[in-house]
This record gives sequence, structure tokens and C-alpha cells, in this order.
Amino acid sequence: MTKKLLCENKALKEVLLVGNPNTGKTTLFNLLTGANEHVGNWHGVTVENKVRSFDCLGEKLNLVDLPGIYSLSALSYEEQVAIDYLRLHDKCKVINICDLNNLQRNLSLTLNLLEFGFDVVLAVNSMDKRPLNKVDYKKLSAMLNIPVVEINAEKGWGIDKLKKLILTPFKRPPKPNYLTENKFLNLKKSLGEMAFGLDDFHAIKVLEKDEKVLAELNLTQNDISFPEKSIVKIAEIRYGFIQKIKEACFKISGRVYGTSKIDKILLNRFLAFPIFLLILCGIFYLTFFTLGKWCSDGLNWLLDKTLGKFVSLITTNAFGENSWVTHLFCDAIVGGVGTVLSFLPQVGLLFLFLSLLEDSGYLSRVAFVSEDVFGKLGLSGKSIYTLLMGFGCSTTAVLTARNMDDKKAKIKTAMLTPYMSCSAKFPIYVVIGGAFFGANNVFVILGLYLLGLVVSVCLSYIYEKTILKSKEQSFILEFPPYRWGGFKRLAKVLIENMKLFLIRVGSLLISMNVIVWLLGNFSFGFSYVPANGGQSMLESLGVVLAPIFVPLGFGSWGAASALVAGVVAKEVIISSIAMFNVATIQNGIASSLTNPESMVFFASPVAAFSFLVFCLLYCPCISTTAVLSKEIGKKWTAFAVVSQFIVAYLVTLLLYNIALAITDYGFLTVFLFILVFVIVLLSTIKIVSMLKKPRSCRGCKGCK
Amino acid sequence: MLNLNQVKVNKIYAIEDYQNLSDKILRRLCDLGLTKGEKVCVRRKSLLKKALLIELRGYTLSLKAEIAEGVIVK
Repeated sequence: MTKKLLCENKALKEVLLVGNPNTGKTTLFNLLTGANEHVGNWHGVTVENKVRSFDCLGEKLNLVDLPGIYSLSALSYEEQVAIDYLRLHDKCKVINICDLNNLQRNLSLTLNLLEFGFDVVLAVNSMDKRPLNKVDYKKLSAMLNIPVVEINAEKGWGIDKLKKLILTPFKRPPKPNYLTENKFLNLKKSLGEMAFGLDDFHAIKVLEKDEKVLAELNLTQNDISFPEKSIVKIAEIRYGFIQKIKEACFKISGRVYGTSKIDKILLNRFLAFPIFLLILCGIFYLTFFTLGKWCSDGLNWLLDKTLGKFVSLITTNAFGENSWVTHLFCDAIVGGVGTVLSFLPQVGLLFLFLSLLEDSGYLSRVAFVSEDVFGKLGLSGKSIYTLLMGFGCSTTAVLTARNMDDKKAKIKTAMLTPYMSCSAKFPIYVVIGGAFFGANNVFVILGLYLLGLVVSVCLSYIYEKTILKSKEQSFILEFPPYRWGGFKRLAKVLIENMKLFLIRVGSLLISMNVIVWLLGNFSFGFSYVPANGGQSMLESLGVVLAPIFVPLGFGSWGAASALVAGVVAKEVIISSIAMFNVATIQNGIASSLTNPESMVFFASPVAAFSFLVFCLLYCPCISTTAVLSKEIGKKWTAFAVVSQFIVAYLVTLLLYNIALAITDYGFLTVFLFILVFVIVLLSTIKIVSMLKKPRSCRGCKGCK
Repeated sequence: MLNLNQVKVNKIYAIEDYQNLSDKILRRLCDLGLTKGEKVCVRRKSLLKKALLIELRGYTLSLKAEIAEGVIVK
């Protein structure tokens, strides 16, 4: 989508949208251009530049939405993108959007921009009815020497005034006056000879030891005798000026941005984590079992009574009951695609809940809570955002890994995201799990979601200890206030995601199903197998692959080929199974899965469970793989895909055998056996590590 | 010498100095307004105390404990 936008009207004059993270840049972008870009109450939702034209009081201009930045020095990849773009387009108008409630901190970036000499229009976004600060805009404008306008990016106040300011001719504003004061001049002088040729911006960046600017000037840190604590001193000068502004133009309420009374409970040291798990379970329960299930069952019934009857009536009349065209339409399209289509309400609900989490501001709290665990794994608390978005769609989630500060942590987070159970996988759990576990399926599904998380956490630990040790992963995250996006926004999210799902089903899934059906019903000699007998193309291939899965308990060629087709998109797995088993919606797949005469059936609930685990883990879909290779490079993507197959196989093998043992010997025996095994394993590791280390013991000071 | 990771919760301290922070992190802290003399207050710690929540300049920030160790306060 973004690529399409980027090509639009390259010749138009550009206006850049700049600001701290989570100040409402994308909200303003959507308002001005009518776009529908993803917004959320989190720092770093926007991770790449977005360009789109808009009408500015009769003149057509291009608006560029940049990822949020704190200053003109980057810490993460997405910040570098924004800063590079800004510096390359220094003759463009810049809209600097600030959050009224956090204006002091936001102004630091404004000063950064003015030091460089951008033509800045300051747009102060006031989103609350009771703002934390009251500001005298006239005085503020006079002190900064730039135009200032108050806006509300959600409701659209002050936008016309902003547009008028955008249209004023380009003019470099005067540099902020602290650059002519002695404090700064002395600092600059202390840089010695090399400072003579530098303008103020470069001098400041040299003083701040900005690696990028130093490299541009062909300097290394050793070439310069830095004044003591120059980084701190520059910040002091800037914030000193902000202090003056604050005294002259602010009226401060004393309330603090990003605090709330609910945090007393939600962030309670002991309750925080259980509450988070409870919220997650609640979301899944509502989506899969109560609300979502009622809607899906309704839709299922409706589809069957209308579309199903209609298609079978028409095709039977037109081609005859036994023609292959009739079967193609009834089995591949109605049976296969219809099965997935009936999950529309549940997919919509899942995305709705995820967006509620994101909009509310709760995710930053979760990041804070999970830093305990994630920090140890060489990830950052911020990774939880990417992983949670992975419950929706791993393709888009992988992109959000960009706001990780450390490159290796970014690679790790991106590689682990496909282990999350995305929205394309849950129809498999619901259909197959429903057939074998009935009411207990609640626990199976929750268990699978948890398993995805646990596997990725374990892998992350292994990667951190072996190949991907992250060095300087930091965790500095601002807390946004809790917000309620409103029903309008929820409706928008729901409609948008259902639309995306329908498009996916209508294009990718139908074509995949037709292909799989043709392969599954025609032999290599192009004769129609059900009528003429013989072996279909898929069967000849599937038979080769099936033995691989025998140790996992589902060695039928139908299951193997469904998994192969599922590499393209996970929805194909369940639609292929529905198609193979010729389960039109009315007789239901459930009964066919237990029937040994079907093409895909599972001998026992344990085998079905093993299949579910393998589906959860086995590989990223094609679109995720494409995004991965763009984000982390081909080498790591290849590693990610191959390792995922291996991990999936091993974990499934392990769980399948444990489950088999439980059915054979009872739960307690197996539990005790595993317990003994783990104890033996741990003590062996401990003994080995003790033998390796030089002799020392903490017990007493007796033997020196 | 106290660092920000050792201070009492809900008490106000003033930033004195910095230690063992990489330039990148120090620059970011300065950009975020953790300048010398600025008043900060630790509001909360996570279960294993690996992350803490601080208040300064009218807003809230969460930090890794290792970074907080680099900020010396009084």
C-alpha cells in the first residue's frame, strides 16, 4: 500500500510532518490526506515514511509522514530514516506537531529543528478536554520566532489556520537566541580550530558526538578534543531556554502526563503479570467461544443456506451432478473457501481487541512489566508490542520490530514473530480441535497460544546465548496516558480488517484452493481421478512427503499436502482439508476428520493435537517471508525459515510422544518421569559447570 | 553517591551526574530532559526490579534499571 502511495505525484512540493513519537502525526496525516494509515497509542506505530497528496486551500501538495523522533540524532533504525529524509529535504516546509500535554519535552525537538534552520510551523495538538498545560501561544510564537497554531488532529480544529501557514512562502527562521549567547559560543570555541568552518548545527552535533555527523565530516572522536561533558552541556542550554519559555508562557496544572490511578492495580508488582495474562485469555475466550462463535455460526448457517445451495443448484443444472466443474465449484470454492469465510466475524473481533489494547495505552505498561523477562532474553520490553501484533498478522507485525534500538534484538524479534499464533491459524484450531476435544477445546486453544509464546521465549534465550547476543539493547519508553478511541474508530478498525480478510479470501485463497483442487483431482496425465481412477498429482507428491510426518502421528498424504499448500497462507490448510474431505458446510468437517475413510483424518485426539502444534510452529507464510527478507536480510530469513521447520518438528515430536505416553501410562507416571528427567538433567549441567570452573565455594570461609 | 536505581520510591531527587553510559544513551537521556539539576522521582519498579518508572518534567518515562544506574542523583 505504501509503495503505491510513494509514486503518487512526485513533482508536487513537499510538506514534512515531524514530531516526537505518539503526538498524533499520523492522525493529522490521515485527517489532511484522507488516508487510512495505522494509528495507535504507542511510541513508534509509524515505522516508515508515508507520502500522499492533499489539498491545501486550493493548492495540491505532498504530505510526508515521518516516524517519530526525539532529536536529530537517532537511536533506532526508524528514527534514522526520518532524520535522513528531513536533512535531505531542508528546503521543505516542516510541520512540527507537539502534544500540548507534554509540550516542555516536545519543544526540545523544535529547538533541534530551529538549530538546523528548518522553516518550522509549530502545530500544538490538544487532544484532551482538560489539558495539563495552558499556553500563551502569542508569547510562545514570539519567543521561538516561528508561527504557532493550536490544533486538534482528531476533531479537525485549527486545520484551516495551519493550511494558511503552510502556504506562506519559504523562509529560514532566525536561529534561536541561545546560539548567540556566551554559554554556547564558549563551548563552540573550546572545540578549537576545527569549529571555525562549522555552522551552528554541525558544531552542536559534533559537541553531541553524533556518530553520523562526525562520519560526514570525516572525523573520528579521537580527532577532537571535546570539552568536558559536552553532550550534557548542550542539553542544558536547550532545556535552559525551554525553562524560560515555560516561565513566560505556560500555566501548569501539576498533573503528570501518562499517570493514572488505574496503574496502581494494573502495574502492581505482583498483580501486573497475572492481569495481563487474564486480559489475553479474556480476549481469546470472547473471540473464539462466546461472542465470536455465535457470529460465526450464524454466518456459517447463512452461507450454507444461501451461497452453498445457490452454487450447487446452478452448477448441477449446468454441468450435471458428476462433472468435474460441479465438483470444483462445490468442493473447492463453497466447501473449502466457505469454511474459512465463516471465520470472518472472529477475525474481525480479534483485530478489534488488539486495536483496543493498542489504543488504550496499556501496551506500554505491558512493555514495562515484561522488561523483567525480555531484558534477560536480550530483547526489550518493546518486543512485546511486535509479538502481540503477531497474534493479528505476522506480516505487518514484523515491520514494527524496526523500533528496536539494537540491530540484533531487532533480528531476533522479527524472527520470533512468526511463532506467534496469527489470525490465519486459529480456524485450524477451531475446526480440528472442535472435532476432537469438544468443550475442552478452550484449553487446547489457549494452550496453543501460550505454546507459541513459550517457544519464542525459549528460542530467544538460546539465540541470546549463542549466535545473536545483543549488546546495547536499551529500554527507554515514554508512558502515554490511557485513551479511549471512541466507537467510530472501533467500527473503522472492524470494517477495515474484515475488508482485508475478504479480499484475501476472495483472491489468494480462491486461487490457491482451485490450484490445490486441480492438483488433487487430476493425474499427471490430466485425467479426472474420481471418474477414471489413478493417482492424482498431489497424491503422488504427498505420498513422498507423508512418511516424514509419520513420527508426528499424521502420516496421511492429505495432511502432508495440506501443510505444503499452507506455506503460501495458513488459511489454505483448513480450506484444503475441507476440500479433500468433500465436507460441504452442511455435513461439517468435524465428523469427516474422525472417519478413517476421509482423505485427511486423525487416528486419535493426540494425533490431531500434534497436527495443531505443527501448524502453529512450522513456517512463516510467503508474505511474512518476503517482509522478513526485506527487514533482516536474506541470510537471516533463510535461517529463520529453516530453523522454524526444525523447531516445529522437534517440539511436535516431543509433545506428541509425551501426550502418547500420558494416554498409555496415565498423567501422574509421565509427570513424575519428566520431573526426574529434568532434575537429573539440571544437576548434570550444574555438576559439569562446577567442574569446569576453578574451585570455589560460597558455603564457608574455612578452606582458604 | 546514589544512583537512580538505588533511590527510594516516591521521593524527589535532583540529577547530579552520569556514569558509564554510552554516548548514544546519554544523548537520548539528555534529549528526553534528564539534564543536570533536573528533579526526578521514581514512581514504581517492576517485579524483578529490572525496569523502573520515573516522573520528570511533567511526564512519565520507563527505563531499564541498568540505564538508571548510570544516572547519579542527590
